[in-house]
Amino acid sequence: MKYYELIEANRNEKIKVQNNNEYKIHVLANITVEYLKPYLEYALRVEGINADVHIGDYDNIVQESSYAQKKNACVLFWELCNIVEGFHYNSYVLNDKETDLLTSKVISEIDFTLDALKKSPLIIWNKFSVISFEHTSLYKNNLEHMCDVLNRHIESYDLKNLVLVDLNKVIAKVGIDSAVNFRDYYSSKSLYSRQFFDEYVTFIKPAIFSLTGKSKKALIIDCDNTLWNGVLGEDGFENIGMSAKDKENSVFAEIQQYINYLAERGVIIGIASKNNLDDIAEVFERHTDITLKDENIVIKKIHWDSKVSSLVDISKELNIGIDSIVFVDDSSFEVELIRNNLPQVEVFQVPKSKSSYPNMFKKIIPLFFNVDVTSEDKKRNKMYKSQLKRAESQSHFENIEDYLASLGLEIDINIDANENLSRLSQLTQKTNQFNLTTKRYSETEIENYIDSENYQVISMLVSDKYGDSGLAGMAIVEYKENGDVYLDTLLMSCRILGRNIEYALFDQIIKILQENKCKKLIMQYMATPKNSQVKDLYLKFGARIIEQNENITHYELELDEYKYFNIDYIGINYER
Amino acid sequence: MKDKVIMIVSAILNVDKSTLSEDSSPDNIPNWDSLNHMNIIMAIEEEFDITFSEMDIIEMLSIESIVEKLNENI
Repeated sequence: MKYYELIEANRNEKIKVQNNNEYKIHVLANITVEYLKPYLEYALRVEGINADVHIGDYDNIVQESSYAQKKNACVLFWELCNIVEGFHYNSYVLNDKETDLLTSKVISEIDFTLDALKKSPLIIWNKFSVISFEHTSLYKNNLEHMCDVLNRHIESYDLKNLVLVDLNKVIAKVGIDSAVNFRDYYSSKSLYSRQFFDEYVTFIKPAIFSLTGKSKKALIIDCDNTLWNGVLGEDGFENIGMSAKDKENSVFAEIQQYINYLAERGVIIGIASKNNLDDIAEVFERHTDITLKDENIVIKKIHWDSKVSSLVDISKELNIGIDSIVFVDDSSFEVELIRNNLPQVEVFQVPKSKSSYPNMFKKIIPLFFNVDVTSEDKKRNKMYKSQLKRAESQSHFENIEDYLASLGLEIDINIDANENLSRLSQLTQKTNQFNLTTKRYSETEIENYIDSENYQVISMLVSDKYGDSGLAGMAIVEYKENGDVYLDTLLMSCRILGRNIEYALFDQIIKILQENKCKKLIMQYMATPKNSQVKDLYLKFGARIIEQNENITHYELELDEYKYFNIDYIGINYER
Repeated sequence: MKDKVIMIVSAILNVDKSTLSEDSSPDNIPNWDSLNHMNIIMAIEEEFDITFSEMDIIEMLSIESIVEKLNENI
């Protein structure tokens, strides 16, 4: 899309997201970066994030940092070339003492800024880069040395909300001559071109997606000519190729390792293939060259029916949104079929030129980016697998209550437990379906609630005899001055749905509130395109509607009138 | 070419095409500030795949002069 079309599209109401939750991004910069705004807003709005990008005042990074902290995210363009007027050439004649003095000045500014931003949900910080100015000399000059020192300093920070961006990668991708616009730098301190910002936005948006529930969750792949070279049903077991040793097949060995890597990071891996189930099973069991581990594949749809139904089934069985699926196939037919029927799925086609396949695949990897990969992520694949086992055994019981009773469900309730901030934050970021208010919180925000006297963060661990689902539900309650309580957040991970755990959790929430001598609970259901399954949840809990607006239904519940569900097959561990 | 320039200027400044003419300039169009001037130049460079010189830009102060510079560069 052209630049003027972006500006026009961003103004167009159609692309404005229907909900009112603006996602505010403050840009701190010591150069002119106005061109960033249209690119970033557009890239986020097409994904349903109602982005509002504000470019801060020129060269006011330190001054505006505490203000920027209040926004959903901030982006930093801190250019060494301009830390003092004309520094990209004045640095050539600086002596050691002057260099040290200036370095320590910038370090103290960095420290101040990062301290002011420590409660920001997301800091996208470009590491210092001088490659635009220095890329011809064999020897490093003052500017490059200083750049190294400052970047080491920033990298020494271990902040969960800090994402460091290597601008050199973006500049390399675009090419220095296209990425940098010296005409505009000398006239208005605008260093980077439109091509740069276009690429930059592609580069950083996974960080924003991971904090807005937009990250992809599942990678569904075809087999023939996608996982291996050849068509199993035609060429036969002996003649499909995926060995790293064969020139023509080695890219498939490479792709399989990337898939193993994604599986270990908690990405759900699935297969959608038109083949005979037994033939594929044989490849995974017996083929000596296969490196993709069978245990890393959570779900397999191997049959001759349409892949549209395979993807829909996968989304249903795993309880994930269609829009969180990435699909890879070599066939133009399948690729077009999915694009036309399931436009929410992100589709990639294996390129005709095999040597381009790995680079194409590397564009897929960032789609699953997580600001902070937690150990929970790694366990998730295994947990999804045990969930599927449970779904299979479901049919053997007379009724669903019998089945649930057979699971040996247990929940552990904790209040203000701060050992697992990253998972708590992740739950608010990633949970879309069973989420009454869909408020997204960073780790620091969760920590603030835990520390606050007016709030309690109630978290729930879930396990059953088949496995441990980990931290899978939470609530945030706010104690108002008039004695009422407001239920700010109530959510449960989709992997524990359908077990009546919500009733046990709500019982415990009410119990906690009664222990705290509360009388009335105020609740809201905020409708989103994904959370309609909990539309009437509060009615089931016995609450009554006091007001209903377009997207928000307000409820209240007199705690004295609450009837406990006391579900007998869910064991409860709650210690005050 | 003039029509295309007017279309781009109108898209960026969010003003109706019918209100723009050759004489339109930062002096008589309220939204045409220095930032939008940069936006207009960039959009025109992209559309016609050209790069203006510093001197060109200094002289591009109305739709008429933009079209003139564009003709010189194509």
